[in-house]
Amino acid sequence: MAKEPEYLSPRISSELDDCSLPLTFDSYNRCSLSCRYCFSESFKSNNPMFAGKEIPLQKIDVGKFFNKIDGTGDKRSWTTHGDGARLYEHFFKNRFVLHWGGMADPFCYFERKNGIGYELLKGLAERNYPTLFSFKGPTVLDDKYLELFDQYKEQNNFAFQISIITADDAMGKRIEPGVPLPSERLRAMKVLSSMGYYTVLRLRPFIIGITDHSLDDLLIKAKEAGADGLSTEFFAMDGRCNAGMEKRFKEIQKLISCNDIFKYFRDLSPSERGTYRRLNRLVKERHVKKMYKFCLENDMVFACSDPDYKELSMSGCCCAMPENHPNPEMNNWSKNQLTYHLKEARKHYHRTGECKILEFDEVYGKYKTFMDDAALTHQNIGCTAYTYNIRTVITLREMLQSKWNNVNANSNPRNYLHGKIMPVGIDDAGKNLIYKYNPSEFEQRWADEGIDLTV
Amino acid sequence: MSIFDKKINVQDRFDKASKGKSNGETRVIEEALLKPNPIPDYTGDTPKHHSNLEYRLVNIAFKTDNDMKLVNDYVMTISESFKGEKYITDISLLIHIAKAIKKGWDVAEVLNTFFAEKKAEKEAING
Repeated sequence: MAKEPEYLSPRISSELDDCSLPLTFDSYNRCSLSCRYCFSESFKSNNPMFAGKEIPLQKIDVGKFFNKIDGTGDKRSWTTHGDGARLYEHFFKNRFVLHWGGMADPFCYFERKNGIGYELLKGLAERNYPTLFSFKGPTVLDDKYLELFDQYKEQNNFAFQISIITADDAMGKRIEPGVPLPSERLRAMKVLSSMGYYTVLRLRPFIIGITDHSLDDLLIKAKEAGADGLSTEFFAMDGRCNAGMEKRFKEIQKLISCNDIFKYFRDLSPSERGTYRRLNRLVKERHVKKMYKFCLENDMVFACSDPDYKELSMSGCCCAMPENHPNPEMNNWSKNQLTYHLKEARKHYHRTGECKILEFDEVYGKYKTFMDDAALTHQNIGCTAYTYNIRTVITLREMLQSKWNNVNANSNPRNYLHGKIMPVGIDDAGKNLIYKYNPSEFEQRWADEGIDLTV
Repeated sequence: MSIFDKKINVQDRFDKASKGKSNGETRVIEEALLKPNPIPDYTGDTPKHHSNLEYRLVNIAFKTDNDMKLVNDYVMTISESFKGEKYITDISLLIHIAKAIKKGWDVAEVLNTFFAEKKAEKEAING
């Protein structure tokens, strides 16, 4: 009998440049939900391995997963492309926060049918392992899951990001077919918050023309449901658009009442960022202002995963994990990334009037980490730009360094953050560019209106 | 001076223009008023190499096709990417030779050991 294909996870996020939670995990390779804006669907449908084919469902091997977490068992069986032992050394041994729900939903209908996630949850709870979930799926409210969360609530080793982009159930049905209604997800948020867990309104993607219509309502309802933080990022359009994606984008076009969504994104997205089109700051400002002010007034952590307004994050974790969670292990996420340092630069500017200098070694750290382990490089999709001989020796740090120093690269910090930090020269060793915080016009205007930008 | 200064009050202009407008009309106003500003060019110094890896990257050109074939057949495998770039992945032999010379060892003996180890590795992999 043929062996069932096994899904290999966790992996290291490709958003390493500004991600505090690079250890990302999914229990299945696919998600049963059908969100029209799904970025993961875009990536998977562009994978030549699956061109024109149905992607078969693959699941995690629970035993191997816990071998990696515990650093036990036959090391050959830890494999995530042969590097499970390295994940243990760099992450699990140090009890680094696991982010569950990167490319699929941990509580979608596949979980209700297969139950792999429940076994994993149980094991993580028994190990008191710090874990952040990102989800929309319904299974989280099934009795046995709630009983488990309730049983282990005193440990406080779980936190939950509940993904909701509109407060309007009717709109939810159209943009997220097959997904529990926004009101049901708010109920899940309330249940988990009431148990004492840290919860985040994951307002991602913020779709201008949809989300803004019920934004006030959504913010109030999330607060009432106990949300401790808000993490946002605006909808972006992948220029590598295949037929399936084009169909989805056209559905969104109708919902946002746009004549030509492709032109809209082309015209309003800075060209410096390349073909992954993200709208520019000017289009986003009024919405960000509303969210930021709401969080400020309601003692919630505002966090921005979007490259625009990322500097306004109140935590160095753009998934809105706080910097002072009562369980110290829940604060065990990486500060060696751009979000943390941009946030610090913004605070520094509004407290002292000085524009901070950002150096490569300061942002990504001077000490050896997983970023220096060439065996993990292949987990970053960016490595496919290199020939195999380079992939075998290049490290993640060197890949980051290459973007940092190449002002023509779309992912260079100057381009990606669209001028929020600007190169001002090279360091003494002549090895790396140095950048300087570049205050925006809006900061002065907001400060004049009395909005506190020192938080 | 901020690079965004020239767009002062664009938000006010947008607010006035979009007040009471429909969703569709707002999209049109966004396209008209909220186009991105280009970032000024950077003309200052840049590092010679974009990364430490680029510093270690060496270009090799063989004098003749035969030389290349010879190296490929007997010393180090030369691969070709789908774009036509040629590259060598395993350069451990060169490093072995350099180390041997540095330490004054018998290079021939080192090479014999190296190839014996490679053969054993291959046999282990192939069963």
